[in-house]
Amino acid sequence: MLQVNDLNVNYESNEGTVRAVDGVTIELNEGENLGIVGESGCGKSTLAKAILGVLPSNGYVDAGSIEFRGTDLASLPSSEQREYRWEEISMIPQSAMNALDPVYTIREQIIEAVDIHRPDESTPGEIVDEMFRLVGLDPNRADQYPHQFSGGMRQRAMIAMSLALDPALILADEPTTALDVIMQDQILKRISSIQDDIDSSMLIITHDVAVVAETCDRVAVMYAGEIVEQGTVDQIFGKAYHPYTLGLQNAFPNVTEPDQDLISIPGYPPNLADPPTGCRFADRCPMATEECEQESPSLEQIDAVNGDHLSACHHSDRIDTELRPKAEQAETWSGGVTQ
Amino acid sequence: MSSIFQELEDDSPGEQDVGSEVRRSSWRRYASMGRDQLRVLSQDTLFNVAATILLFFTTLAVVGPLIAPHRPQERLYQENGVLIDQWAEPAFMSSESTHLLGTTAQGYDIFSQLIYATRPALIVGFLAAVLTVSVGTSVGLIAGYYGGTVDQILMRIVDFAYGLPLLPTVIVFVAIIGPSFENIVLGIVLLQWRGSARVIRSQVLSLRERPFVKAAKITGASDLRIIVRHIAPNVLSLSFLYASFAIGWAILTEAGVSFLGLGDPNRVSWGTMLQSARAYSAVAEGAWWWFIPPGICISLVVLSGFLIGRAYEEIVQPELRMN
Amino acid sequence: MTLLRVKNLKKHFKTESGLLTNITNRVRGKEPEYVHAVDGISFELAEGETLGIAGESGCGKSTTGMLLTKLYEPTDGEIFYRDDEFSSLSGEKLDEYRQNVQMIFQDPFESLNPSMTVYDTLAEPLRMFDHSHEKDRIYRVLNFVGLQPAEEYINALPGELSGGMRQRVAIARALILDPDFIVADEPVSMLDVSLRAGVLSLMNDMTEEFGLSVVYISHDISLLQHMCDRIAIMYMGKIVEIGSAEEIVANPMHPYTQSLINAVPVPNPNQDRSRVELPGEVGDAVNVPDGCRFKDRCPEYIEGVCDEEPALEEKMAAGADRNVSCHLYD
Repeated sequence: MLQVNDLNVNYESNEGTVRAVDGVTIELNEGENLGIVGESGCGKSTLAKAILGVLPSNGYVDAGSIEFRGTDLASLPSSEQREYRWEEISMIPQSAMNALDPVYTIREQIIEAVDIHRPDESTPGEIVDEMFRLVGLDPNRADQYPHQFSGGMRQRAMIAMSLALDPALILADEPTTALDVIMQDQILKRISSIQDDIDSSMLIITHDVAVVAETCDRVAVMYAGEIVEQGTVDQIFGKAYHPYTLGLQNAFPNVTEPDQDLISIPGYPPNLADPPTGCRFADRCPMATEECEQESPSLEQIDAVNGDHLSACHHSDRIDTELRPKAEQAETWSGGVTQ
Repeated sequence: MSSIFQELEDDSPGEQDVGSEVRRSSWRRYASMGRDQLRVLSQDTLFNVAATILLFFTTLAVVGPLIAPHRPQERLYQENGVLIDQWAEPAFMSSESTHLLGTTAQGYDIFSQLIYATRPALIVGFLAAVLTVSVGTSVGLIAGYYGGTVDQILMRIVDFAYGLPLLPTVIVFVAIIGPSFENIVLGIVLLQWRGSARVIRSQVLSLRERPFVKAAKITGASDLRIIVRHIAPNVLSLSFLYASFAIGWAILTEAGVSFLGLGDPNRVSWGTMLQSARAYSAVAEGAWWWFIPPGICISLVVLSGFLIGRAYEEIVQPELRMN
Repeated sequence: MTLLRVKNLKKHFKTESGLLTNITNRVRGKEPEYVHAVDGISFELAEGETLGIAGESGCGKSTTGMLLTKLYEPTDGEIFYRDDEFSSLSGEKLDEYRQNVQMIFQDPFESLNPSMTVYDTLAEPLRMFDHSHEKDRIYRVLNFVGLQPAEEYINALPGELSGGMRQRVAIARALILDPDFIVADEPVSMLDVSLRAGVLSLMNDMTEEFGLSVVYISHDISLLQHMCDRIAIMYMGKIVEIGSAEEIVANPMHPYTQSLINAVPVPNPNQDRSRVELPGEVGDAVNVPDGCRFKDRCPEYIEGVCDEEPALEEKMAAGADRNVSCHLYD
């Protein structure tokens, strides 16, 4: 359904051209959920905005294509891009509770979205009611203002809005980060149950590895503007092949494993206005060699058997023997710059 | 429970080791911050023009009296020494005239007057700006930090001050207290502090909720200490902004008051020059070289003040920057 | 030895309304309304212990932190620091307390004064209490938090530092007065995931090396389990369960605790959690329901019994460190 090919997205800033997304290729099939995992500054939000065509004024697609059901969105003029927006591809933005206009009721805002794309829709109000029921909100409350809803309810209202036009693809940018854990659980459950009803695919962008484990079929790990590893959820969580993925997994405490050591990756991500030659993770990687600092690894298959598990590392062959067994020990990661 | 500073406890107390060799003092830091801001500002052409103009006038104010050919109220006589050299035309218009910009109806050299008038204009401008902003910032800090009744009272006073129009009030004030530059400055300050007070107050309202202020409170900092050490430094840039705008307003107000006849009778300012020109019907006489030059000077200085303020505003509030 | 003892602590905030509403309400004889942020909690903190306070937004955990650091004055109840009750602290004793309690805040970007260098930020508390060896202390503390060499950081302004570095400076500031105990309010939730472990291990070092007590406030139970000796679970201003961290997570007794733990996503795709669907939302903190505050959402609600407020008591075999506030265990 969605095929992003070698996408480059740049920002013009005071420090020069920031290469926020650099040569990203991912695909999303009909009916599946893809998670994009990475920390702040890795480019995942930029990727989402590029797909939706809502980059800020100093951002632009420099190269590559974004093919949605055969059409390259990146090459369309913005007026045509707008037709896709919300009707085919919708978004649940980060901190969605603040994405609602405080001076209009929720109903008015959802109807506005419907009106823009389907001016002939005869019963927009019914769509609102139906969506509210879908996300577990009382339709009678749709006539209230955003400030009368709690944070979790506003999040659900945004989800309702994103579903109103029955889009084929939903981009969820950190959908649960700002929520309490019980509300987060409810939202995640909603998302899963909605998909059974509505049959849209989802692109979930988050830094929370656990959320991805529970909601996605496939995962792509992003670091410094590039995809460093890609595969099914079982593959990535079972046997990760990229050092960054292994490091990331160490950072998440698991309630079922109380004795686990929490280890952080020393150092910090590179400046994307002046990216390093070679592998961008090299200066933080415990396995880095000179080759890593000189040549940038490309995303390749791990082996012929697991054709869809890809990793961008010069030393994928050594991960099994050298890094993964030691990855959970703090000494493997120590040393390096203060963060 | 071991102490973090075990060995230090054992040493003799009372020895304040300031360690100034390694760390930079605050003044140098402010200086380098100022230099950085200047660098950004100087990329703006309008700012450069305005700064040059102001610099020029400031220099004039300082060295003016040394280069002016005459004193401002020195009655000049014609060559024969008997008749007052009044209504003389400027040198570039009549070959006999020795006066760059001619003379007034009373025989004073206009060019000299223009130069001498720079000083009071700039003094009024800067003095009024500094005082206005000092009062306004102090009120804003106190009202914003303490809130409650103090805030209510102070803000009602601000509301009252807003209700009074600037120029007429200063006129009345000066008329009652007596015409002098000091009184004009006083009159301006009496009202102008209202603008910065409001804005600084809202800045303070948001600052006092920030965690670093809470951290200071937890450690037991007194209110005064928090206001002076933590909050005030963070509103200073806003104060400077208001100061630059206040300069323009002050000079305009002084010119207006003087023009209406309530200026300092013993000193010459551009406003008094205009007043004089009007009193002697310079327009009817066609002596444009009497009232146009002071008018231009006023416009240039005020405009420069505003332009500098506007350029500085983009630094203080980056969202105004146009890409 | 007990460092802190909190008894029936309450903090109520008056709901804000405009001048006109206040006047008309008074005329009508209507009582002002209060938000019951903290509504009667009791617990103890031993020296060297890390106590976690868990709960969702609005449960009162942050307010509790502010009461412990004396940012707020309690509406009712007592807090004992060693043997002195808070309200009796004044003068020298108050100064001593202020130096012994420090706080670390959630937002690293707002925790530091943007116009003060790292050196000044750390020197400020020392100057307030006239401590000697200012420079030595600052260098010592910067080294401890991992900002080495200290010379590189002392002249930096917060704007020049990353989030992780700022939080370390905030920790350094908390340590500079050599305190007894620290209240940490979500200290890592705004940091990137891969940086959190570093800051957390720093906090662990802090407790181990200097014997500090820490009250750790967070909504992230998996984190608390990792960092704390004991955990208290708060709901609507009250503590519903308190006990050893390991035990609470392994064997939660209160239904709310159970749903809280069940709700935590696990980074393992093959692990199915048994999910408890909690209906509704957290109740109204202004018009608090009678009896157990959780009764409207509790899957184990017992008619009649739960309309009476359950006491926070020891409900397990004697010796086991667990108090629960639930009628199920009466």
